[in-house]
Amino acid sequence: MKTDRSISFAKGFTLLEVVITMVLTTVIILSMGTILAHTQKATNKQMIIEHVNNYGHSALKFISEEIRRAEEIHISSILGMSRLNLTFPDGSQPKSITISANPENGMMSERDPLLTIRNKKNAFLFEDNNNIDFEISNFICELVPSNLGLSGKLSRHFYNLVLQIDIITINASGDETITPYQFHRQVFAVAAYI
Amino acid sequence: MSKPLKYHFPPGTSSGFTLVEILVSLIIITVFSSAVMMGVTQVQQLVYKISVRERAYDELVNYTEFWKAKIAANQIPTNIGSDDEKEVVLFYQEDGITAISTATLRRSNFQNRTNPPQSSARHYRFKTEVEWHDIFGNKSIEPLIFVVDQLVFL
Repeated sequence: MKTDRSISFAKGFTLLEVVITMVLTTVIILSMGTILAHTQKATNKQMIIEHVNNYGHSALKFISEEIRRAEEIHISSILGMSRLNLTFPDGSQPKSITISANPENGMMSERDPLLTIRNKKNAFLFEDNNNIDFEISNFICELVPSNLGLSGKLSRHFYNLVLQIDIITINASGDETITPYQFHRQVFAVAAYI
Repeated sequence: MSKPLKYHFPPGTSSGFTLVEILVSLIIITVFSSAVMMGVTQVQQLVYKISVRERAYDELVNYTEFWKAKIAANQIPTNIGSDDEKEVVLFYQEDGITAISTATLRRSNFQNRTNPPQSSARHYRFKTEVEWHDIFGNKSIEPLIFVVDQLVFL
């Protein structure tokens, strides 16, 4: 019996079709992979920006509240950043605290982190990421300048707080891009004023 | 002499795509890509708007603190009854000089709420608000407003 072999071969793919399909599939997969990698990187960066934002606002809010209730405020400088010694009224616990900035570990109260979150001792630290890092690059607490319109005793009890956190992104070639995020707050030291 | 390549296609099928098939595919891909791009752009704009709003809020808190301190310290200007307005820059361009987003801070509705009026416990109320423009030139839909009460410390 004679069989028509050409019909059975026609149902399959030719070498050219298979090669083209494989090339197209590879291109599509690589494109999708690149897009996903970029999306993942952008998501990571956005999460870190959000984390830095929350930390900056929370830290300055906490420090402002402590300055408001402090009876005595002493500002010194350590490694170019401010260090605050706050003394609270009698009966307060603790009686005094020292607030300083540590580039790697965030704002510190004595030797402990200033802010903590659930299941984590130090709220400043974040999940390790090889390409994105951040650190405190500046913390300044100073009396407001005289040109702001305050005078007399008030000008000695109105403080300017500036906290700067740098987000450091390392690209594929190893170059660093630094994006600074600055937080600014003014606070009236009510207890010290009274 | 070699035999020329001959492709076999099942009966009733053509050897390629028709123009309509290609056009339909292109339209579907274009619509899908546009939707994705628009979504990404909108999210980026939303994130930026939130950061501008946060910054404007910070400025309002500082401005309000300033006026609270002035009243607490009894450094009340003689023209306190008239409104105060101040322009601030929320974001600069990378050169650090050119402003790309600004806000207007305003203090108004200053009222002496001391009751009874001859009381030594002087009490004032005022309103502070902020309106801002973002990088796209859009004005804030609603200003952020604080209504604040403050005693004068003797």
